[in-house]
Parts: sequence; C-alpha cells; structure tokens
Amino acid sequence: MTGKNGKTAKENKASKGLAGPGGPTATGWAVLMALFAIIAMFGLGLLSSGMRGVRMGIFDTLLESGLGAFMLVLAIAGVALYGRRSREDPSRKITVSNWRVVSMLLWLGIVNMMAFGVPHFSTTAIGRYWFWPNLSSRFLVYDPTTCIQYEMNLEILNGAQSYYVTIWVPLLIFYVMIFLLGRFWCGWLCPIYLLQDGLGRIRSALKVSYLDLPPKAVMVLDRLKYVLLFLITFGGVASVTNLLPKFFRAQTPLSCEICPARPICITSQQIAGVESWNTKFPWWSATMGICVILLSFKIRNFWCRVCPLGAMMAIASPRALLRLEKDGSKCTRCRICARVCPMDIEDIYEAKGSQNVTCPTCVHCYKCVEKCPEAGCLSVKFLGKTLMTSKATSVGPCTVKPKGKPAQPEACLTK
Amino acid sequence: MPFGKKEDPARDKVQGAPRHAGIADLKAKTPRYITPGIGDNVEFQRERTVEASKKQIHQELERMRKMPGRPKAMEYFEKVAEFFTARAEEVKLWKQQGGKVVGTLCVFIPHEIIDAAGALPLRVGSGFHEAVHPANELLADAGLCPMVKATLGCKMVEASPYFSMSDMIVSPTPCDAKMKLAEILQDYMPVLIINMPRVKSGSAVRRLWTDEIHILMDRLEELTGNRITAQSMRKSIDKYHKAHLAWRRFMELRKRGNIIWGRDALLVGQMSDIDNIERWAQNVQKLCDELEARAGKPEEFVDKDRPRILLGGSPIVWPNWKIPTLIEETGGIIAADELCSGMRIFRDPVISDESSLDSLVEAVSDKYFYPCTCPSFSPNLEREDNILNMIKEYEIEGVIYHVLRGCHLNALDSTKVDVLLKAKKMAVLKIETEYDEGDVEQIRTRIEAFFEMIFVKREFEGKEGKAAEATGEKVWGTATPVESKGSMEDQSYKAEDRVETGVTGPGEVKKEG
Repeated sequence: MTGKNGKTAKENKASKGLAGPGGPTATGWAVLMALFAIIAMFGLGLLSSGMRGVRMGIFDTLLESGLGAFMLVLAIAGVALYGRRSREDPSRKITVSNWRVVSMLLWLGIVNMMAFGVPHFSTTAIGRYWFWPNLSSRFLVYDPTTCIQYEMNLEILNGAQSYYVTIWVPLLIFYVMIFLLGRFWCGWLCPIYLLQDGLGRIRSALKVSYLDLPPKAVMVLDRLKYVLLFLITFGGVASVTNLLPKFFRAQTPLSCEICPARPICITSQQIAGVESWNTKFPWWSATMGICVILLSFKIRNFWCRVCPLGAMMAIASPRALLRLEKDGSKCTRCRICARVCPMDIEDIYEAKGSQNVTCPTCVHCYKCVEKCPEAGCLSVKFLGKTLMTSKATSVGPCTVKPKGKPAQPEACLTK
Repeated sequence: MPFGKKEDPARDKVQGAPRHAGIADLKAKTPRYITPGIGDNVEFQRERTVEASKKQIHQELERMRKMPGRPKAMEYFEKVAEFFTARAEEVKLWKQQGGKVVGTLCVFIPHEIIDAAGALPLRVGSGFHEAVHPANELLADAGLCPMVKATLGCKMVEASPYFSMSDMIVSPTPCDAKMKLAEILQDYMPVLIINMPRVKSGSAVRRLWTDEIHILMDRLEELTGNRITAQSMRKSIDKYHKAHLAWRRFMELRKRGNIIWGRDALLVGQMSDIDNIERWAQNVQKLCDELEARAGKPEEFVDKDRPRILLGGSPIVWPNWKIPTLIEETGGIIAADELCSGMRIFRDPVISDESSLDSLVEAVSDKYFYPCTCPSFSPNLEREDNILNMIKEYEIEGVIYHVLRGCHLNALDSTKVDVLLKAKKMAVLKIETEYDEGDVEQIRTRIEAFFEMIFVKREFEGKEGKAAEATGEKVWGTATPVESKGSMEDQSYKAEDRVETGVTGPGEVKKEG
C-alpha cells in the first residue's frame, strides 16, 4: 500500500514504471556493446587479413571495421531505442519487427550492394574476412564478404598445404561472433530472412494463414539442417575431387550448387552489366531458390529451419552473451510466445522457472518479447543487462486496421 | 491440423453423421429431465423468484452505496447491475430489431466470436439466492453447486431476463455440474455443449479446442445468418481489446492501495459480461480518470489501513454478494480476486500477428483456454503462480478462499492453496458456504477472528520487518501495525453485539486460521 511507508511507494513506482532489472541503463549498454563491436571487428579483421598476408592502410582498416560496427550499432540501438520509446509512448507505433526490417534493409543496402553489381567501396579486402554470414558468393565480382561455407570447402580441399591454418581463423572469428551475439545475425541482418519476412507480410496482408507445422515436422526440419551442413561440407568436398564417379562431379562445391542465393547474385550482376550474359545459369540453385520462396510464403521462416549456416550457429548460440531470458513467476502461460514464434519454439512457453530460454533455433526476432503481455516476463539481455523487456502496454492492438462495415449493427443501445 | 486445412467434423457430411447437425438438434426433441408436474406452478414461482431477486439486488446496491468514498462513475455500473431495468430493456429492443442473443456459461466462451457473428453475447450464470429452490425440485442431486442450481432455476421459472431472451446457450464442460446443467437445459432451449479438454499439454488438445470453437462458429453463422469474416473478427477483437486495456488500467490503479471497494471492482468486472462492451470500456476509463484525479488528495483511499484481502475460489456472481459484503463490513477490503467472475475475465489479451481468419480464431481460442486458471485444469501451475503474483503485486495480507458447497474442484484446490500459502506465511481462511443466508453470523465471526489475526500479524511482523530492514533483508508480506478500525456502524447485516476481543498471542490465533 502506498502511504504506509516510503519503501513500498518506491516499489510501486518501480513496478508501474515497468523498468526491467537492468533499469534505465539500456542505452548505455547499447553504446558499450557498440564499442565492443568496433574493437572486435577491428581486431578480428586485422588478425584475419594479417594471417592471409593482405596489406592495408590504417585508414582503410578503420573505414571498413567502422562501417561494420556502424551497422551493428544501428541494429543494437534499434533494440535499445525501441525499449525506450515504448516505455514513453504506450501506443507504440514502432514495433521491434519494423526495426528489424529497417536493419536488414540497411545491411542489404550498404554491405550487400556489391551483390547487385555496385563496385567495392574500398580497395582492401579486410571486410571480406569478417565471416559474417552474408549475401556473399564466390561468383560475385565485387564480393562484400567471404562465404564461410565456400571457405570451409576450399580449406578442406587445399588446406593441407597451409596446415589448415586458414580454416581455423575464419571459424574462430565466426564463433567469437556467435559467442558475442548468438544468432542475432539471422533476424536482424540476413538478406534471406528479409525475403522471408517480406513474403510473410504479403501473405498476412492477403489474409492467408500460414501452414501450421505439426511438432514432428518442426523436429524433422530441425534435424535436417544438421544433415545438410554435413552433406555440403564433406559432400561438397567430395563433389569436386575424384572420390566420386564422374556423373556426380561438379565444377563447384555442392554448397554453391544448391545455394539459393547464387542465382540472385548472378542475375543481378548480369543486369548490372558486371557479369557476362554467357555465364551459365545455375539451374540447381535456382530451383532451390524458387522452392525456398514458395515454401517461405506458406511456412514461416522456412529457410531458417533448414539453413546449414544456422546449424553452425545453433551449436553455440544458446550460450551466447546476448540471450533471451524468462521470468517464470510473471508468466501467465497464455501461449502467445509459442504462437507468434515464426520458428515454432515451444520451449519458452513451457519453461517454468526463471532461466535462459534462448533455443538453438531462436533467430532473435524478439517477436515473443514484443507480443508478451506481461511486464518484465521476457527480456533480451546482454551480459546480464536488460536491453529490452516485455511491457504490459505491449498489448498494442492489432497490426491491421479493420475495414468495412461493422458486423453488429449499431442498434438498440440507448443511453 | 497438420498441413493446412482445418478439419471440421460438423461440415464433414460424407463420412457419417455430423456431430451437431444444426441449431434445431441442440434442443431435446422430447424432454428427458422434465417430468410431468414440474412446471405446474411456474407463474407463482416466477413471481416469487423475481420479487426476491429484485429485493436482493436492491439490498446489495443499498449496502454498497453506504460505503464511504465511492466514485461517482459507479452510478453507471449500478444502473447496469439493476438487471431487470435499463439493460434488460436494451436487450429486449435488440431482440425486437431482429438481433440474436447468445447466452454463455463460464469464462471459456469467446465473446469476440459471438460478437463477430453479429449476435449479442451475455453471460447468464446466476447469483439469485431464490432461484435455487425451483431447481431443487428437478434435480436428483441435492449436493450440487448452488450456482448451477440457481442458473437452472432461473431458466425453469424464467426469472432472469437475459436467460429468457437467449436464442442459444453455449456451455463448456469444465466440471460435472456444468456438463449436466447443459444437458438438462437442452430440454428448455438449444444448448451447444463445447468439449473442453482439462489438461493443457499437447498439440492434440490445442486442435480439439480450436475445432470446438470452429463448431461454435458454424452454429453462430447458422443462427445469425452472418458469415464470420477476418474483418468482423478483427473488429470485435479490437473492441474487446479496448475493454481489456481499460481493465488493465483499473487494475494498475488498484495496486496503489485501497482506492476502491472490492465489491465495486467486482461489480465493474462482472458487468462486462452483460453490458455493451464498448460502452463498458468507456465507463471503466471514466472511473479510472476519476480515481486518478483523486491521487494525492485526502479522499484518495477509501480506508487506508484495512487489511487487504485476496478473494479466491468458487465464482461469486452478482447479486450473490454475501461473502464480499461480509468481508468489507467486518473491516477488511477485497484488494484483488481470483474468481472466474472477477479478474479472470480479463486475464490476458488476444494477440495475433497474423490477419487471416483462422489465425485470429486461434488467437482468440488460445486466450480463453491457455491462461485460464480454472480449478478444472490439472496440473494447475498457472493458478498457483497467479495467486502468488497477486499477493506480491497487490500487497495482500490475507487470502479468503470461498468454496460453494458442491464445487468439488475448488474445494479440492483449497488444500493445495492452503499448503502453498502457509509455506509462504500467508494467512488463509477457507469458507464453505451456500446461497442462503443462514450462516451469515457464523461466517462473520470467523472473518472477524481472521482479521484479528492479521492485525496481530502486522504487529508481530512490523517489528520483525524493521529488524530485517536494518539488516537489509526483505520480509515478504510485511505490514505496519495499525489499529483495527472497520466502519462497524455501517453494518447492514443484522449485527450482534460485538465484544472487544483483547489481542491474543500470535501462536494462539494462528491456530484459528
């Protein structure tokens, strides 16, 4: 009760202000994270390009690592700003889903423009060794970053000469990133996620419901991605060596043969005039790409369910520093988190106590945090500090405004 | 359904007889329960029941009006609560204009869907004390829950205007009494029985429940002739969402302290079941505005130092205000409730990020099923968490667990709640009662003793709390010692001469609770 003593009044205020355990330091932590990211980017880029004997000027290095860090800052500041804004403005026009789209579009626009024939912005190659999963391909004339899958195949194939040193460095960089931010990449920067997200929005606007996968199918697809990872890593190597009969042998590794992003890269470069029109169209990967587009229309996040890169990240992401946590005592078990989850994760709903509920399949889209109606129940934490937390006011009404005539006639209701 | 298309047993005419062929089949062709002679003096009984119920409503409203510091905005809810007058006229007018009325029982039936179909949803569970008697005539089970009896009695003698005006009743099956009530009611009117799973785990359960809601949609479409579309669904979800937000605001305000009488809050919540939901939401906002305007002024709190009570257990339906009145006239205040006729109505919002009809229906049916803390579910962790949370959030000092005689599920759950709360050193009082007023004085004595115990606890823990504050520990449920000063002059139940009880030792009193 207020008025009994000052302590309870303060508590009341705290519970009313809906501040998470991290309090108002979310923005401060976003800045710290950004600095951390700059250092990590700079150091790792330097390490990796140094290992490869790439020389670069200090200015270029700063430019490129700065750009990468800038992207991260934008994404993370989005999360923090979102948290702040919704605290001030309960009507909450900017949802975290919209922030994600902005972030993905920016990443696509600035970093992945090379996939569309825009020349490289700098002469050095440090950015190529960030090894962030990306819309990058061997087939790009100006490739923004290096595709880690291709790199792995190449290294397994030819690495004996360099004692496989060059495969461990990319993997190290990759896993350091995963250790820092988990699968944050998936929901916030991945260009294929952007494609899926757009298709999902179109589907929803057309009032078509998604295909509700039964739990078993979800499980099978989940396993499938590890099989795919194995196949394209080792099978990919086999496909370009003499281990297989001639029929199965390919010019390029298997991962490139079935990569759904490859046709996009090649065709867009041809349109831009960078690539020759005589280049053979990759039919296998085009088929794969079309399948992904069709399935993503009806199944939420189809590609994320089978993404082999996702499998690489999934191994480490639950223990990442950026994690999703649940306060079990505040949960009303309404199942909203499980229903809105595009990856059909039930674990968050089922978790009973207070714990880290980051699943290997979680793509950090934070839809559950956005939609959770209980204040402080779900929160995004980095090193134990709250970046974003669910709000009681997050019961923002519906995403689509009703149109047409009301179903119930305005009738008899007198004063 | 796996892979897309929702399977609808009702529409599946090829594979055999449909489960519910239509509205007409929802009513029994020949009466199965009504034996000759039962409806003989209905006219007389109706008059008697209606008179007694009107008197009961009037009496309870008068008692509530006597309480000090009531907000002005409560007048609107009182008007709706009069039951037989203004609101009944409105519904009558709605019927005359060709509108359909669908009565619901329990808290599980999505009013959004009924609204989207263009019908008027009204919850028809009854709290009329007098209506129990006609039902006793028909029922072979004298030990049945009085709420179910009263509901049946209301239909037997047509005592409740909303029940009589309903074109169809939708009844879920949370407990045995409700199941059979639905079946018996089929003798009188079309009743759609919704099969309700009672364990929440597994995807099959979810499918079953959603399918049942789809059957409800089919029957509603048949009744009203309107098709439920994504747009109409969205519109009614928004409508109810506004009501939900208004209610949430009200609850946030209640966390400040004793700003409103618990009976008033209970009444506001229950009127959402029979009122026009949009107008109801506006009036709740008005009420919140008024309460907010009082902040910082001397009239902010109705009575600051009363022990804050959590009322849980069996449904308390207007105008069965026996226990709430007793609590608040004996010197306590209901700070929060855990009743399906109270705060459980707006427990969680409907949230969907999709806009197709199927997704919206799924969102709605999830809302009415998963977060529900009805004791019919097992294992019911939600309920335990909810009670503990409420105690923390509303700074509860004692829990009164109300059991209607014959409500087995709540009676059984009371043990669980008792064990759970005693471990947290929370005072618990279980009251088992019926609809008649024979045990009023006995219960009053028990509640008085319970409050005495809380005051002693305050004194006892106040010292301990201070000691703990000094060492930096937090004692849960701490309250400062205050003199007991309930407004005893306002007692309107016939008061016996109260003897000032001396403060007894804590150990001695604790045995009593």
